[in-house]
Amino acid sequence: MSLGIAFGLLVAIVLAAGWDALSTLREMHVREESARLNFLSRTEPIVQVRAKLTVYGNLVQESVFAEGVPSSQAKEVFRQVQSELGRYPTPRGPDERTLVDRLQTLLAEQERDYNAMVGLREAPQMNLLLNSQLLPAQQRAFAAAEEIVSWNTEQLRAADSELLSSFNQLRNRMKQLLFLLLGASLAIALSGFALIAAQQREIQKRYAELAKNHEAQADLSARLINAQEQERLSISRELHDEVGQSLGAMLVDLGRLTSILPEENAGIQEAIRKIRASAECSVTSVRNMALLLRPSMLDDLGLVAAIEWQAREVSRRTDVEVEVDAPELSGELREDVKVCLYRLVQEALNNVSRHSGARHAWVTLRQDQRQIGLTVRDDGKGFDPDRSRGLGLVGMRERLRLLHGLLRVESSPGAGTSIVASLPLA
Amino acid sequence: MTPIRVLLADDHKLMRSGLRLLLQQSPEFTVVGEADDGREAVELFNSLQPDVVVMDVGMPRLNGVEAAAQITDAKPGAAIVMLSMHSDESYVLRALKAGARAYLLKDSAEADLGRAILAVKEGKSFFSPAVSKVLLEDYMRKLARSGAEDSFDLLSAREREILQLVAEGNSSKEVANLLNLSVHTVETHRSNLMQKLNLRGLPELILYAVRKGLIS
Repeated sequence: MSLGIAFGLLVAIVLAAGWDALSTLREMHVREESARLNFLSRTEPIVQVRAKLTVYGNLVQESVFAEGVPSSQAKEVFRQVQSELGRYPTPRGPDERTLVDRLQTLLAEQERDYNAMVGLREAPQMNLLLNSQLLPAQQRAFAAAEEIVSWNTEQLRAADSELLSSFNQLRNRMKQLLFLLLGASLAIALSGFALIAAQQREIQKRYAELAKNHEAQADLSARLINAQEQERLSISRELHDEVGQSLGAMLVDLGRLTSILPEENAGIQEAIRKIRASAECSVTSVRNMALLLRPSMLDDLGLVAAIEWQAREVSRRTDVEVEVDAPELSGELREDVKVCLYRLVQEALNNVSRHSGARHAWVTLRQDQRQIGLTVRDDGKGFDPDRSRGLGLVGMRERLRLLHGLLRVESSPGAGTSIVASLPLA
Repeated sequence: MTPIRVLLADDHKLMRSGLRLLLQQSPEFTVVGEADDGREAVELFNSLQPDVVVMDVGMPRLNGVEAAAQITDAKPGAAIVMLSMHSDESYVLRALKAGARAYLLKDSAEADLGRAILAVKEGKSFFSPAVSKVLLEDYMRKLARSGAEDSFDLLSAREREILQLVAEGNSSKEVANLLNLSVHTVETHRSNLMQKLNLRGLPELILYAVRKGLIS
């Protein structure tokens, strides 16, 4: 968040600096243009003034040495000189005004001297006046014009150097900004890296915690499953061996009692018959309870017999006819493997009879050297295994996982369901 | 007439003493030994050579089915009555495969034990009526649901007769004598009916007969 703000600021600074640089450059360009324009518009009339003044000087000299050159021509040229000077742009600075005024004054003096000279008529006197007054006056006018030009040149140079210095200022500003941006970017990048590293560390920590929790959970569920099986086994044995057998023995004794008792003792015979009936009832329910908890076939006859019994039980109780295809297994299976596979069949058939609406189910057991495979298939309505994850499937997966086995559920709506489990035997 | 010598094998003492008292009521029987588990039952059978063994299916160390298999391995045709709490086919078929000829439910033992012992002593079969009933029900339900024909209807009258006699425990020779046929004819009928019913071996044949209620 704060990183985002910093980055936004950075971008804003870059944009502002860019805008500033552009407008500064534009302004400098305008200033440069106007300086050049000023220079040209001011020097051009002065150049004309000098050129006309030269022509004027020549005309004046000619009119002195070769009488007959009309003075009107010189006067005309002089007027042009004055009009050129009149083109010199106004507004003028104080220095500039002094310079231009001086040139004007000089020109005015020259005109006055010329008029005086033209009035003399005497060649030696005119020559004297020309050399002592007119020519030096002309030189002074030239010098004054030159001064104006050099003043303007000076102005142009000053404007140039001012531009240069403001360009340097801009460059320095840009340089500073560049360093600032570099520093800021570096700071942002560094804090970004720091943030990412911190988040990485946090993620790793969380992951480790999660993995630990998962392990603990798996461990707990393994112990729960084992404890549950042990509990069922011991309760089932207790029911079957103690309660069941005692009731069985009681039935035998009652039978013997009936045959010993004389036939005519009908009251007692009837009482014994009633006791027998309720004892038989108890035997049946105890047996069913024991079988539900833990089928004794699993211990008496092995896995295949237990699965066959389970299949027949489901066939008897429900509308699903279950068929078992299982060869007698070679060798004794490990206790936990037997229990796991038996519970898988039990749970799978339970699901079939409760949810699938199937008419038939097939249980297949296959064993080879390395693994044992179990398939429970039905012709029911099926489901989408990616969508529904019943608790039963979770339990099956958990049991298999504890023995490093795998569970695959193949089903789609309308196409029945296959539960395929495999367990390594190593 | 000398009484039939019986070996009782059951890990449950109460049950065992009840059965012993039951047998002692009748002069036809005498209990010559009692075993606590399957292994002891095999040992006692070898040392005592009883006429009949009455054995519980579920016993520690070595269960009744395994013990019966070991006994009939050593002495083919040994007479064994299997006692069980379960009327399920898994038990019945495996008991038959292990060589037992009679299968009794414990809750009806006192009524049928004598008859069962007498039957196996004669080489005949015996099943608790409740067992026959359950097996028959399973069989009929399966037929009804699969829509298959009852293969029993495919048998001729003579084949049915022979099926019943063989299931009851008669050898082909005995059947031949009873029906006044040659042994060869009986063998032919027997293999035909096994094929028609898709049966493999005597235990399955007996189980089938029990299912159909031909014997009990």
